[in-house]
Amino acid sequence: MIKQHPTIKSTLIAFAYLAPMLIITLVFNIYPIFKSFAMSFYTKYDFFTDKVSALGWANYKFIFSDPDFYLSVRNTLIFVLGVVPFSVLLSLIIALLLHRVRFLAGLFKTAYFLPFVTSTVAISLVWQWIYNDQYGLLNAFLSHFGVHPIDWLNDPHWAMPALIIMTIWKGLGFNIILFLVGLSNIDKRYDQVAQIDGANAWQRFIHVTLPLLSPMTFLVSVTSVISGFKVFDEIFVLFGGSPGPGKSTLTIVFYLYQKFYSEWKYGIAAASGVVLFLLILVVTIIQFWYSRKHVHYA
Amino acid sequence: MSKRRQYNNLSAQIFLVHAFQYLLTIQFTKGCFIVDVKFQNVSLAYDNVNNILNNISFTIPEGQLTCLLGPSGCGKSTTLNLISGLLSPTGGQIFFGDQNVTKKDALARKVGMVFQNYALYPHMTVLDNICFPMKMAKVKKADRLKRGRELAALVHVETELSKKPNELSGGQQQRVAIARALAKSPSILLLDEPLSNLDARLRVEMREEIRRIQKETGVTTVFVTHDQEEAIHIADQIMVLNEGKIQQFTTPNRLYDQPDNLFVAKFIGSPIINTIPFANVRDDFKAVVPTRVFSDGVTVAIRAESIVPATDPHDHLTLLPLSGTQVQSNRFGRETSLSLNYGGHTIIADGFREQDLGRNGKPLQFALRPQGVFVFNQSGERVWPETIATNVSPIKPTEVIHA
Repeated sequence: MIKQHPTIKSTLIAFAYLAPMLIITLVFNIYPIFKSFAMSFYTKYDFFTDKVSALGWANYKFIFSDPDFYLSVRNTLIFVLGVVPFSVLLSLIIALLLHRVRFLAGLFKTAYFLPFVTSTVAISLVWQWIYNDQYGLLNAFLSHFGVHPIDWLNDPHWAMPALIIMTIWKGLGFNIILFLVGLSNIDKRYDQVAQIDGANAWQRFIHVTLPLLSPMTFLVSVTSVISGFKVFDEIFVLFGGSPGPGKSTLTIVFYLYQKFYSEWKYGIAAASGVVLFLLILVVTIIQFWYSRKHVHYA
Repeated sequence: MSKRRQYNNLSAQIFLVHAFQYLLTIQFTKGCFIVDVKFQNVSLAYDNVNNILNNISFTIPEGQLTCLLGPSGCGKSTTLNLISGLLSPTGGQIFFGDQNVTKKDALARKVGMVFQNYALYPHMTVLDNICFPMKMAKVKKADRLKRGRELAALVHVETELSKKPNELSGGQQQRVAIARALAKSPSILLLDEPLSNLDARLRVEMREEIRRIQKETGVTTVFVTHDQEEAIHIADQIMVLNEGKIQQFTTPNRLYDQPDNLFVAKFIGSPIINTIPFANVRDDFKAVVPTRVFSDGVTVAIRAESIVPATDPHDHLTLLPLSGTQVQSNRFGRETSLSLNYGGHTIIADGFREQDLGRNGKPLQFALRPQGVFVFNQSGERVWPETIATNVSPIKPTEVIHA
């Protein structure tokens, strides 16, 4: 390696190379983050003239006294807890199977990955039909087990499970691909050594594969949690632009959207965005703290 | 750096002595039988198309050190994995002693194995790595920790017990790998290129140690290598493999003195044996070889040390000196390497001393020793000299038994 002392010139050249990406990130990511953080304190604000007349905590006071906001936080947490564990577990199992399958492996991988690249709108349309209480595939299937038809999309009790099932299905493909990458990165020597050392298939999975796969499991969980907290478009399309029957699938981002686009309350929308940001931050910090003990980086 | 290396050399030597002596005690205390390994018509094919191994039969004698030698992709590691049970043959049968182990997996075969890259579990501490085979065998925790510590002390990693493998040096990792292989009291020890990650000098020392200790313990050991010099120095027998077939399976010296085919002749020995189209030099050999060889011979191969000055007082193969042209000579310490043009080919001779040589480009008279000159036919088989009877009986592949 060439060791070079940084000079003003070399630093400027480095910045020039970084500039294109840096400018895009600054304009579309960094600036909006700070702007929306500031906006959450605007209590009197003219959107068209960008004139702020008053600042204060009123927006936060409002959302923390708004039962709809509490409902949206609760729904979001239920959604995340419903999606992430099942999604991670299911995609791990399917990835393990696909890793062993040699026959038509490419076809299976493509099939599982398709939902990820398909537009949410198209997926939701198909699922609306699957969930239909009279003509739906799901009820037809359940009727074989003596289950009475469920009005998945209009019953407040069933709207959230319907949303969770569809989201798990949609996210499966991407997680499977990540797990497959993780599995193929594990040197198969370890499996052989474990075999020689007398470990059966289950012991090899528990003592060798799972610990060595833990960095990927961690990545998949963190990204799933973050995207779970940000859920919006699945709800919007599945329930035709409404937050579900009786607000049963009102999530934080949906709340934010309503405040911003329907009610033109920018300050309140920004405040709920900040709360969402803090929520994700706390959960991610907890995950990182947990990973220190349980994730093994080779 | 060099001090540390010296320390490593010495302690590596000591630890290997201990390790193999420990293996010896295991052999006797645990009552494990020393067994031979028998392959009968074993084949291995992937997708039923590509034959990795093609119908091979052999017996690895008990209590000896056998090398599987060949270039990469020759099937030697595949053979080792078939012995270990990591691979199953697509045809044929494998025996440990009288026991048919063909259908048994690695778990049931109880072999000890050391891999080239050590393959220590990166997420486990040194102690957990050593104890893992015992944990799988459901040895009580207190017992296996005690035994693990003993093994660690044996291989001199007792101060590193709570470290992860990536915090250890390469040498230390290999010690841990050997401790782990010993932890299960194996009946056969398999070594998959165990020396190739060590530096040259340490490698030479270690191979001598392994050989001496193997003699003392008598455990059946199979050693895979691609280094012919390593194999010749360490092994009781060498099986030379190429393209999934056994080329020759015999003692190291017989392999060198009487190669069955051109591949073995070229693979064994350094510098590589000189080969000349027989047609170019046929007339020089007319008085020496039988008529059939004179017509069938395609390639003549001559070992570098068999090319000596015409004044050499020992036996010569041909009555008259042969003549070539001196191309170049180089001295490397005690070796003098001479490039010689003979029969239109440049050949290397190292039986000359500097005072025997003339000037480059000048004609040079030389003679051939009777040993180390071979004639091969079109398909590469040796046609001359005929097999020389020696008091050491060659190891024959086992008889092919048809079920």
